[in-house]
Amino acid sequence: MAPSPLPALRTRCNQPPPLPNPLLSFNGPLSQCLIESFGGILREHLRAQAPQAQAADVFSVYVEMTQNICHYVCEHGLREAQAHASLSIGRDAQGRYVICGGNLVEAADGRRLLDTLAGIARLDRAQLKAAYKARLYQVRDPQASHGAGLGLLDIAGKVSAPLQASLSPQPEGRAFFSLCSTI
Amino acid sequence: MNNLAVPGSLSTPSVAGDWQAGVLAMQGDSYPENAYELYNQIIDWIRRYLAQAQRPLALDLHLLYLNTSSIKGMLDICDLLEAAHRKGQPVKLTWYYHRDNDRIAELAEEFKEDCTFPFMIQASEE
Repeated sequence: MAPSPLPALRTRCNQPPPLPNPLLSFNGPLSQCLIESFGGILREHLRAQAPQAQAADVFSVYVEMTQNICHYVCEHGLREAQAHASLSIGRDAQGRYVICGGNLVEAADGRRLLDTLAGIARLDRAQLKAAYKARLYQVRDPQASHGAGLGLLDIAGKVSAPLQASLSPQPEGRAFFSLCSTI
Repeated sequence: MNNLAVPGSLSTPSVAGDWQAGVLAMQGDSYPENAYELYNQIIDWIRRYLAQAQRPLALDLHLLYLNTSSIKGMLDICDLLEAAHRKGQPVKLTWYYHRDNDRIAELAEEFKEDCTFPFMIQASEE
């Protein structure tokens, strides 16, 4: 009989977490069904712990981030380990919610995402709102690719600290893209 | 039957279009996997109703949360109502929200900014 995997899992989970108050961590194939299930858990927690406006923003950012990952995986037909997403939600020392999501992307797509985010980071609140509205009216073609642009602008409008994005190179021209939003 | 009925789920609002009464109601969260598919059904129904029924249309929205793809769909719906209104067809939209849900009230206000047809935003206790 194979040894139980639980002692190793327990040791790993008991190590000091990157966020002082971890809430939810996931690594694996993300689906709409899982987004809804995790979303339910997140909402349940937020209902008891966070003011309504913050709760709404956290939920909204969570949905946009996870659906962006799902759309990317789907559009690129990724399978198995390549389709796996990493998700970590928790609170930082100041009590703010930190939502981190990451997935494997083509390195060129990852660089484009970083460029888009760098452009968004230069906008002030008013410019951000204008860019969001412009993009909303621009991307109206139902056949058009989902694109992460509108979702990212929406996320950027809700965070209380600059978005943290990173790209770590992986074999075969790929990279792991990671985005952290603080609310 | 000319009625539209979409059952709701965790991420899909329930949609009920009553052709006789001239009322389309939506209720719940809206962040489906494919928002275009859902909103296209609604848009098609409204377009047919406006073209064929020649009667007033009222939209009753009890929506809690919309992701960005759903917001785009709702924008298209507002465009349809706006065009009908400009042609003289009576249309109105009432957006009901729980009084604690500030964010959805703000979103409703943003939609309202671009509309000239009767657009009510009503807080409720339930």
